[in-house]
Amino acid sequence: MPPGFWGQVGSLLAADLRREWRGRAVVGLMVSFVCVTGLILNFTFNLALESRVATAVGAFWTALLFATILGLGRVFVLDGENGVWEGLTLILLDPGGLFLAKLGSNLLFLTVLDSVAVPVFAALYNLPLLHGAVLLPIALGTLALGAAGTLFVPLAGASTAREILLPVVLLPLLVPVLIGAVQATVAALTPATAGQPPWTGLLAACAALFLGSGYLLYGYLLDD
Amino acid sequence: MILLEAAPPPVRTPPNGRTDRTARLQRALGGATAITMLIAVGMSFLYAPPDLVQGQAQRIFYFHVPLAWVAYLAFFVVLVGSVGYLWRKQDGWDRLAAASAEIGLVLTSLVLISGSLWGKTIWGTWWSWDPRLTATLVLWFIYLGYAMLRALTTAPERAKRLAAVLGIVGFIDVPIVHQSVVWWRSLHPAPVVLNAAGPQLPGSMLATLLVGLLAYTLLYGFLLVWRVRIAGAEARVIDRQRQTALGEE
Amino acid sequence: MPPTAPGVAIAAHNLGKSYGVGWALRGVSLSVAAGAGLAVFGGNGAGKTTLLRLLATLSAPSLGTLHLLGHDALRDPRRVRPALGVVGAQSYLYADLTVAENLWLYARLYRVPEAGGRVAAALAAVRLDGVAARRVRACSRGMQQRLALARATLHRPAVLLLDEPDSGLDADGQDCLARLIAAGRAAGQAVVLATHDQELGVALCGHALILDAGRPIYSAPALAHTPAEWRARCVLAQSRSRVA
Repeated sequence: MPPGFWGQVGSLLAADLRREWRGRAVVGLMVSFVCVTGLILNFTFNLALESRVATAVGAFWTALLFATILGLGRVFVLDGENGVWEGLTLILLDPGGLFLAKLGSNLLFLTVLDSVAVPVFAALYNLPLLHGAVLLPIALGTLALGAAGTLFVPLAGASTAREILLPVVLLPLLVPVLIGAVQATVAALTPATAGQPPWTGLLAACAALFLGSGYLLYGYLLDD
Repeated sequence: MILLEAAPPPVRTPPNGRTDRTARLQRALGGATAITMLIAVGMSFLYAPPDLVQGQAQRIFYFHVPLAWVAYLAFFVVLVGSVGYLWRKQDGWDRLAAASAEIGLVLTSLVLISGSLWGKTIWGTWWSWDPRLTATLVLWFIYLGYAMLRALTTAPERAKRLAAVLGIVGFIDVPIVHQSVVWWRSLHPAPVVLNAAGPQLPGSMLATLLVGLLAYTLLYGFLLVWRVRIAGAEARVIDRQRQTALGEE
Repeated sequence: MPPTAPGVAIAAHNLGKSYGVGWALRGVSLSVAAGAGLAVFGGNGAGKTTLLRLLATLSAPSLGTLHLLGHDALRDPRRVRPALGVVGAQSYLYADLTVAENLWLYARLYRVPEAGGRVAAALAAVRLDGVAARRVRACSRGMQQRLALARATLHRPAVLLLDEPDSGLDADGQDCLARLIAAGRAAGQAVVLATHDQELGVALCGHALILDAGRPIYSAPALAHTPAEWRARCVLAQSRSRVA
């Protein structure tokens, strides 16, 4: 019984996960980076201030952002091996489906990253990151970062100057995601604040933008 | 079963009418820009009264605000060109987007510089993380990324397509960036450099501002038409070189 | 726009590809019927790979038209791609998946009916059934090339485009290649085969075309000349362009 659209997306997703399971190149890179960065940021930021929570949350999202960019960049390099990326343009699946498959595997890798980063930062900086209200901004922020990365890493990766181009192209677009993620996380951790701007709504809007444009525009990244 | 004739390739030149029309448009825009710019600058320095609080320094406002407006307009045109290119696949749309992005980047730089000068004069600091200036700074970076993407992607067809994708997503991101920065700044209120752009402008100031808006919009239009024509001429030269290479042998 | 005659799988007219100012390929027109085979000969840099990439819609031509299976391949390449089988310079194989897993994945992506049977048959056809559980990364170049062949023919494409498929293949592998092409043509596949091996080209294809410096130099039915004569013509064309 030949698979339908979701069957194909599922097959691609399963293949990506299987490859990662065997090589563990991407998740290993991201997890080790985030842990080391968590350590380093402790020395570069003075955490004895009253705004300790805000600074620690800022450090958390900084580490997560750079780990994401590194990891998704590695995914792209691995997909370039043997021209697999080009081979996918020949198959019977519309580009939106390819985007969803890639997004799915990237998000799974990022979830693994989060599940290490959250406890590590919670422990190192004494942040109660593991209770309910905080997980929503973390999830939304990860979703937005993942969607933006899935779309823009191949976009920047098409040129030979990938390492220079990716941060310059991607990071300015992510400014609202970072603002929203940090503020929403802080707001969830310090419930006393009232009259806050809708940070979670901002994150949701960013996620929607990157998901929508990724799904609709991915095809233009694939051709020639 | 296998044919081997190589048909002579057609040489592509635009119909002469079109070249003349755009040249006339460019000259008309140039003339209009020169006149209105002269009036606008004159009004900024001579007609508009000095601000009660900021004194003569406030006159930067008449350059800074129209520049900002036109910078955003330029990026809207980048969006239009990007969508047009992806939809129609005609190079003309891509040239429009590229030209507008180039001009927009320059104009945004001027917005940042003038805003910084204003801040230095009024508050003594070169940069104050004022929300609108900050959002403009992020915008500048987005379009720097656009320019770098175009410059660093070697395959020309792919560069156009990828730039179009970035042009679309970048522009939609702009209002989100703006709002997020405004909200972020609202947490830590700081001197706002640009509050002179409020609704209670006396008539003479408002008139000066509007003339300035017109003048800078015409300037943008003039530069845009000029730049697009140059890009079109470049494309025709490359085309002709290619046809020559093809015709040899 | 000349309508494609029925039974013509590939109809290309005045194809040209330019990167910058120079032309990698120009003035190539060809027509390949269903079940027919076209061998493309030429030295390195002659434009064989460019031509095959254009036919595979992996690259858009700067000039010319291309119709595949009756459809305008330039206006809507995605529509015709699933009917193409491509073996190119890159293998399109996932290095960290096994031989069988690669074929299974592509069977699903191409929506191949009775995937189980087809995958087994494809493995048998390229004689890789013994190493079905080996990761591609651990396979030799020749084995990867065979797997690429299996992958390209798995979905029984109507058009098979092969760019030097014999490179890296031992005698056994070349035998598999020959059988695959012959069986495909018998079933109505149109085959375009770019190769340096004139014997292979003449044996498997009905027509042959020589490219040099991106231009079509000579074309004739394959059996009009012996392989040695074809080789001589290729060498002559190359030396002529070097002198020019």
